Amino acid sequence: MEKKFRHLLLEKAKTYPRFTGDLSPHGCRYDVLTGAWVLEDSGRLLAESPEPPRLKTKKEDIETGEDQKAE
Amino acid sequence: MQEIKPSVVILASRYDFTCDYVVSRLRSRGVSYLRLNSEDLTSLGLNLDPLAPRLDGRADGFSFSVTPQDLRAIFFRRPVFLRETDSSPRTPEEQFERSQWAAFMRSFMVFDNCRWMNHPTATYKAENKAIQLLYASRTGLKVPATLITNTIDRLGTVTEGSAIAVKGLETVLVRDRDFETFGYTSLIEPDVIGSSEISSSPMVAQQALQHKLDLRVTVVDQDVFCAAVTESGKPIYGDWRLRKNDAAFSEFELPSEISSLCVKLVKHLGLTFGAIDLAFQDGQYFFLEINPTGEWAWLLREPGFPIDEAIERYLTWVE
Repeated sequence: MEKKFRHLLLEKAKTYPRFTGDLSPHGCRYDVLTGAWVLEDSGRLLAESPEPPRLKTKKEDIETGEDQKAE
Repeated sequence: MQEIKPSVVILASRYDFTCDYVVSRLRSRGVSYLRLNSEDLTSLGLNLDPLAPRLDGRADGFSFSVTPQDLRAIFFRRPVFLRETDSSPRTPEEQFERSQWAAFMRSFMVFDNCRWMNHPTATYKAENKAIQLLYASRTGLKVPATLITNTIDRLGTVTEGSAIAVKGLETVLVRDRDFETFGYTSLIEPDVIGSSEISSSPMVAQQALQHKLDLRVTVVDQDVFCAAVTESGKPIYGDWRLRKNDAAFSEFELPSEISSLCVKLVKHLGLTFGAIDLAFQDGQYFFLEINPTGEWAWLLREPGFPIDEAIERYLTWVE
């Protein structure tokens, strides 16, 4: 998709399909009392599992910079 | 029904996975904590007495009371203002709820006798790039020549004829229906800038450091963790986030003087946590920017910085 913008910063910016899917990590549920994501099968904290699936770290996060928290 | 009287309150989003690491640390230490996410607030029954101050709440299966007597720290990971980045039409009810709950989260500022990481007012100020550069310079860090401008008149002050680094004064993130546009730092030749549209909005124009080594410095109170960002063992030209899939992060030993300046900068900005981007070039360290709510979870595994432990130590301090 080709977008045309006027301002230099927008012309140089990257445009990509917007992610509108579920951000929930696969195989996990959010435990309100625990205050963290837990693995469905074991109840173990996702953060403590050896291979956390699709954790939203700097490398894996959807490219919205670090301001996604503003949404 | 379980009742929680937390010594640590986490204000976040369910999808802020960084907080999960902090929760893990708090649980391992047996610390009483409460995490409130924006997405979950409508399912809770909440009563905040701003004068006491005191927050009482009910959730499915547990209740909680937040009081100054028990509360030692708040880990604040919510926006301090709502940005104009979403084109999705919100219903009047959604607009209403969004703004009211955001204000509710900020209302935790009534708990002003505990530690904050970071306090919303400090975050609001520190997120401003102009303020960041000023404070960094005053602290003693080198800062590239910078203009915040919408005109070409004085671009010569930030270039010696070579490319200029241009970026947004605020995060460049816009959405239009099914697409999203995100702006990285771009290195642009002056004549290209001269023939471009820049008058409609200010931007940051900065002396380009074209042979820099990117350093991500994470400051937690007095603790400093520094990672170099490389690709195939070499510095990355331009905005390294464009190469993030191939980027590697390795521990980098900062000179003690630079570490101290980073700690000092965070403190001067009224923060207790800061993710600082430095550029190392020709033996000199340049400050680029600081993010009061910067991410750090990816640094836990590579290069293995115990940032979660440092945060937990700060939040669970004992005099």
